[in-house]
Order: sequence, then C-alpha cells, then structure tokens
Amino acid sequence: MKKIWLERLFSTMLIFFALAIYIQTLHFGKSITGPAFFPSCLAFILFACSAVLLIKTFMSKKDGDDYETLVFSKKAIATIGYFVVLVAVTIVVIPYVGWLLTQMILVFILEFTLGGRSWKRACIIAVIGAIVIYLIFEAGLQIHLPLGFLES
Amino acid sequence: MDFFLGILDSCLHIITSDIIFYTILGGFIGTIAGSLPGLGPSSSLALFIPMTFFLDPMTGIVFLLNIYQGTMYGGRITSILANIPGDSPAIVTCFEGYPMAMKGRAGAAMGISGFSSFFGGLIGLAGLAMFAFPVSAFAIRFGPAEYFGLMVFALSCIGILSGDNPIKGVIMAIIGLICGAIGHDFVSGHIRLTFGMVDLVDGIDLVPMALGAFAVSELFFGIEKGGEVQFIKMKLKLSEMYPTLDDFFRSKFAIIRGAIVGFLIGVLPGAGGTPATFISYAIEKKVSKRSKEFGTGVIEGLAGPESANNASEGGALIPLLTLGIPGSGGTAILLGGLMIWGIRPGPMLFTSNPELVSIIIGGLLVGNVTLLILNIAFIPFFVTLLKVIRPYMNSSVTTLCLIGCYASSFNYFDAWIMLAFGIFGYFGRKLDYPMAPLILGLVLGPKTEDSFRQSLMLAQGDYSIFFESLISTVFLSIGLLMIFMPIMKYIFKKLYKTNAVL
Repeated sequence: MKKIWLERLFSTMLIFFALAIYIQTLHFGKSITGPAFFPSCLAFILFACSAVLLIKTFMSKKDGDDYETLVFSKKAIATIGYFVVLVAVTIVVIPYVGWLLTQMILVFILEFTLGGRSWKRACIIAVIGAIVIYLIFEAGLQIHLPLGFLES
Repeated sequence: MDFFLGILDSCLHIITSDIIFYTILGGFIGTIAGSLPGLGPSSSLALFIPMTFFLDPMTGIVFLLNIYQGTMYGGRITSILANIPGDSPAIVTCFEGYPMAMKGRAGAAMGISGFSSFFGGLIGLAGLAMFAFPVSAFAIRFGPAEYFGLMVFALSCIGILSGDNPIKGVIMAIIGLICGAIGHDFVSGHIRLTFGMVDLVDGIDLVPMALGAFAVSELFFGIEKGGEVQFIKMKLKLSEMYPTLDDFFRSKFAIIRGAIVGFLIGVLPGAGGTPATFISYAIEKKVSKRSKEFGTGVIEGLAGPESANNASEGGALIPLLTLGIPGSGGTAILLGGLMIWGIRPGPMLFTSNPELVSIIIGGLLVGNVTLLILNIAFIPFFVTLLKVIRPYMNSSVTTLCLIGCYASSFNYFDAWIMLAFGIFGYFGRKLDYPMAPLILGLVLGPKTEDSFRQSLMLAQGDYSIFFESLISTVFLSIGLLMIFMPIMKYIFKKLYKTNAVL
C-alpha cells in the first residue's frame, strides 16, 4: 500500500471520528461550562486538522513528500493480521481457559509460527515461560491470574 | 537548606532499607529494556507499572524512576555494539559509538558513555533540586485560568516539538484529550462519549493505552521486520572498560556542555532527550578542533550527547513535579503511575509532601550511582543477557502486555483497548504520527478541562478571564502562536511562491 492512500484513509477515519464525537456531544446542551463544550471544541479542532491533512494529500505531491513510498507489503499486513487475530482470540478465551494454559498456547504458537523454532523447542519455551511468568505474578507480585476452568 | 538535608536523609534511608533492592532492580530492568530496540522508556514504564502495585508507594515510585533512569543508560549498549539505537535519544550514540567499537575501542566507548551519563544525570538532578522549589513557589499562585493557559502552552509545545509534522502532533494530542474526556464527567455527573459501552464509563486507563500505543505497535514493527540484532564480536574485559586519561581530557568539556544543554532542553515540555542529544552533538561538532573527523569515532561526539540525554531527565522532572506537566511520553506515564498511587504532582506537592519529593530526588541520586556501577562493571553480562532475551522478545512482550493490562484493572476489556491502540499506533507511526502527545493528552486532558470550566464558572462565562492575568495571557499567547505558527508559515510559503511566479 502506498503512503498516500494510507494517509487519505487515516485522515478520513479521523474526520469520521471527529464527527462521531461531535454527535455524541449534542445530547448535553450548549452551555460553555457544560459537559459538551470541551469535547465539541476538541472534535472541531480534530476535524479541521484532519481535513487539512486530507486536502494536503491532493495538493502537495510536488512538495517533496514521500507519498509514493510503499508503507507495507501484503506479506507484512498478513503477518500482522495473523498476530492481531491470535491476540484477539487469546483475549476471548482467557476468562474460560485461564492465564496459564492460554499463555502456554499463545507463546507456543508465536514461537513456532513467527519465531521459526522447532515444535519441540517452542513447546519447551512455552511451558517454561508461562510457568515462570505465572509464578512471578502469583507468588512474587501477589497478583492473582485466574486459571479459568482449572480453578473449579 | 532543610530540603537538601531531606534529600541526604532520603539517600541514607534508601541505602539502609529494602528500597535499595528495588533501586538496583529498577536500574537493571531499565538498562536491559532501554537496550532492547523498540522498548524505550515509555514502553518499559507502561509494562512495569502494574508490577509496582504490590509495593508501598515510596518503593514503587523509586522503582519506576530507576527503570526510567536505567533506560537512559541502556539505550547506548546496542547503539555502540550493534549500531542499533535502543531508543530515540541513543540514535546520536551510534554516530561515534559504533565507529569506536569498530576500531576496537568498544570498552572505552561504553566506559566514557557510562561516565558521561552519570555526570549528566548528576547535573540534571542538581538542577532539579535547586530549581524545583522556586518554580513550585511561583506556581502556587496559579489559579484555574493560569493553569488552563499553562496546559494550552504545554500541549502546543508537545504537539509541535514531538514530530516533523506539527499538525500530526496536534491531532494526537487532541485524540488524547478526547480519550481523557471519555466516561464520567465529574462536574455534571453525565456520562460522555462512551458510544453506549458500559466498560467505558470509568474512562480509558493510561496503562492499556500506553501499552498499545508504544509496546504493541512496536511489536507489530518487530514482527514486520523480523531478524535479530547482530552484535560485533569482541572481548570486553573489566580493565578495558575504563577510558584512558586522554579520553577524559578530550571529553571533559563536552560532558559539561552536554549536561548544561541537556538540562535546559529537558525543562521544555515536549522536548525530552532526543533533541537534547542532537543539539549537543551539533555543538560538539561545531566547537571541536576535529570536526572533520566526526562520524569516525570521535569521543567528544559520544560523551556530549550521552551527558545531555541523562541531564535532560532531571530537567524534564521540573515541570512534571512542580506543575504536573510531563515533558515526554516517559514522564507522562510516570505521572500516570504517580496518580495511580494518589499522588498529584504540582506546586502543592512541595508543601504537602516534601518528603516524597526528597525521596524522588534521593532515589534518582542513589540510582544514578548504582547505574554507573552496573553499567561499567556488568557490561559483558548485559551483552550476554541481551543475546539470550532478544530472540524471545515477541512472545515475552505480548505476554507481559496482556498480563500488565489485566493486572492494572482486573478487567479484560482493557486488553481490547490495548489491542485497538496497538493497531492505531502502528498505522499512525507508519504515517509519522508521534505517539507521545497521545499519552500526554490523556494525562493532561482532565486537568485542562477542569481548569477551563472552573475559570468560566468563576467568571460567569466571560472569556476575558483568560487574559486578565499576565501569566495566563503569556502562556495562552505563546501556546496559540505555536499552534498557528506552522499554519501561518505554510500560508506565507504558498503566498511567497505565488508572488515569485507573478
């Protein structure tokens, strides 16, 4: 993806975000000391700044901006997408499976797939790593990390 | 005088109690974290804040401060040995440090950079001890209007100084301010900007946001790049760690100049260590008789910026402790950490809790000495440890981020916030949006809005209150000028071009 397209996409999303914030503030009246005034001012500034950046992408190609640079390849996006999905699934399953098992599985997958280790080595790292971190938090720092179904 | 005796007393208390263990541990963790490319002061502090919750506030604060201080030392290790800066202020260290290492003088480079960091840190702390009280005595007279002016000034400095594109800095500060406004409005009791999500009623916490914007986004970059750090092959002996007398002779004025420059730049909100190191390097290049040799391993070019980097830390703590204004992403997270313990930095801190201020300065002083020892005597150990840790960075940082998020609130929703800000931070950084103003906006947002609304309530809606006192007028004028200056500059540039064509 070229930088110019990402810049346009990002600025457009920020404009929509500013509009969404402004709409949210409409419920609270317009008193300058009320809860809506400050966020609506911020939404206005955000809208204006994002619009300036968006317009700039259509105007200033000749100003030496590196808009034509490739910001990331398809492979990079696929790898990051895979990582995001992995973390998202982890967040979903932690309450049920518990920290210890989830961390083991997460570290194993990360080391095996992204770290390029053999499954045996990834397995050893996952088990030792998860147990050590769990013990540091549970015994050392007195922070309870739920074990999910293992607790019942 | 009592204040200086208090600092001395705090140093003795730290040395004779178990706080010394956490001082050394903080420095050790900070050095390692600072030397790992990607884990700068902000990510390191965000990762370790949740781990301080089980400590008493004094110990926790000293521990965090020494992690912060340790990152300043650690950044140089990979700069010198692998030509990869651990954090952004260590970029300049690569310019002379790596060529020195290539010439077989890695030990001297590590040694002089360690001593320079120590001296710079010492000058920064001396400046902090000397100027913090007068600044807080001045700031104690501030009313809400003056505070609002100060906040606008700080946010504009931060937005503008923190990136090549000032508008992007301002955008990030605004997003941070919006995030700070999410949830309960404590004046009216209304729930704002939650988009119907119950989990957002209490607002967005600093820890998940900072972890996402700094640590998770950095993870994405690490995953994208792949590869491992290659250190140059060398033998580091303790006897070779110390610079020669000639090295000291050559770099003594560079160290002093760097310390002064670093301290002065560190005081400016938003400036931080990175500009301090670049300016110090430029000065050394200008004044040196060997300016043409710069880039080939000139020791003054290494010593000055290293000293400036650590001195800037003491400078940055002045606005943080006296006015409650953080000067960088790292100090913003530090401020968040202090607030978690119920400590509100500002002028009142010096009258209501002077012991805490002296503990902070004392903790940094003792930490500075322990860091010098750690960074001179244990360099071979650090290098070995780095080689062991580095390949497991992705999985260990992912795990620590998830647990850190959970431990800060015992709420799984924060992990989603972290992931969202990680994705936002990754795309934002691809487009050169600076992340520090985002955190600073979140931390300063509530105070900015409170002072704005309090002022208008006092003046019954009359905006002229912001221009009634000289202090608020000056701060607001400079702040607004800094916000609009880049836009005016752009317009003038366009007009000038048009006139030139005509």
